[in-house]
Amino acid sequence: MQKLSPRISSVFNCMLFPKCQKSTKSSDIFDRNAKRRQRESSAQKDDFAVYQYVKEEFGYRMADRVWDIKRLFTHAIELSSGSGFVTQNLTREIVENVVLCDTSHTNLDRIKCPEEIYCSKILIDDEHLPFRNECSDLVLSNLSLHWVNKLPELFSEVIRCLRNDGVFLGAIFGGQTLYELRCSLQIAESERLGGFSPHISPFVEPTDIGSLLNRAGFNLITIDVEEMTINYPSIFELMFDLQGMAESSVAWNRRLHLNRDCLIAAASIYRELYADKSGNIPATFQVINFIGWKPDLSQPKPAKRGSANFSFKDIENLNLKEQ
Amino acid sequence: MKLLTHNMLTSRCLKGVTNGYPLKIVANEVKTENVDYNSEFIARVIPKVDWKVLSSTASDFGVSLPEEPPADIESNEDMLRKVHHALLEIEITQGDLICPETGRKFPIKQGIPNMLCNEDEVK
Repeated sequence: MQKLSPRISSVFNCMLFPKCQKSTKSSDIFDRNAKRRQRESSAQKDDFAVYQYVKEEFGYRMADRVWDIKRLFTHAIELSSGSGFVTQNLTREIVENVVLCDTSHTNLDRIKCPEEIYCSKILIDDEHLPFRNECSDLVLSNLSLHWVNKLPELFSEVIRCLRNDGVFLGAIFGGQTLYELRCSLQIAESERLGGFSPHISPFVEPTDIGSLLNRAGFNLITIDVEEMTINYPSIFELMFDLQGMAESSVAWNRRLHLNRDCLIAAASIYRELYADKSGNIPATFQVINFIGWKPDLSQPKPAKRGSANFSFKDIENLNLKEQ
Repeated sequence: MKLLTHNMLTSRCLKGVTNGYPLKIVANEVKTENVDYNSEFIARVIPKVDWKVLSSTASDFGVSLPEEPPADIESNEDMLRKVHHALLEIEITQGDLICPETGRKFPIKQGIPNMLCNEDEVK
């Protein structure tokens, strides 16, 4: 067979490899089984701990948020805990009993529970919570919800498991996450193949999270967004680390093959567009933090309409009067 | 798996299951661990657990608890210790959890119950 030119061979490759897989349920976006396998294989790596820097950092920040709530939680559930990123930063003064959930047995085995907290471990899939009604005071979710197919259903499941006045604290990746990588791959693929397929999963926007929490019935919702930029030597280290974090794409419409030509093109596009002076490339991780409370009579409510006895029009005079 | 965890678990994510609670325990290997006793925690937990389920499962493991939580439980040290033993010290390391409605088995391995379901089993 004649040797094909690189350009033609890459087109040929695309035809050989199946473009995407098919979901059994038409509404599903993500292949949860593939994610389960990715998490298990990443957990079995010897250098597993090396790749957990993003989740560790945000787990620490979330634990800090738990500390801000001046209350002692009897029962807490940490969803997709990995190796217990939030729980490892908590103590008995804030939480007494934690149920750690993950899809990977190896991950759960790695968890080192703080000694004074009662911990138990369960293998569950985030999408289906096997807990009875009103059994928990606190539900935590650190950077795992972006692989959940039906967020609205999950949120109503969480509110079902929470006791009245219970709190749901979560962190989820937002739309700006890895935009540099997404753009570079898109440009490279459209240049080399004349079209592109998604390699980065779709993310939610802060406003979506607000309305979803609201619709599920949460009260006193707070949302804030933070960004973290990490520098890498090149696109290859970034993608290698993403794989180590078990964050490779599992969208059903993903292409199973990333062409070598495209990858090299994407690497130089990434460097050209975003690299700093020393040649390092930045990768952005945008994280949406949210807090929602299950409604309870004890929670503060807005005052009755018309009950104000001071007009906003006179707000300038307010200080003068007091003085 | 501790009985405290069992008290929270249901199989309601399965197709056709409305309640799925309580799950039956088939224990093949049971360990008794020494866990630090904290009377305040036990007193706080008692109103939050499903007492009926706890007393019936605890009796399967040789701990007899009354059908209703005694009113003076907070000052009843013996009872608190008993509940502490039932909730936290009995550890089921190997066995199965069985859905009361469909009979689906959830295996417990090395003390970790596997509540993962296949795609065709869930709602």
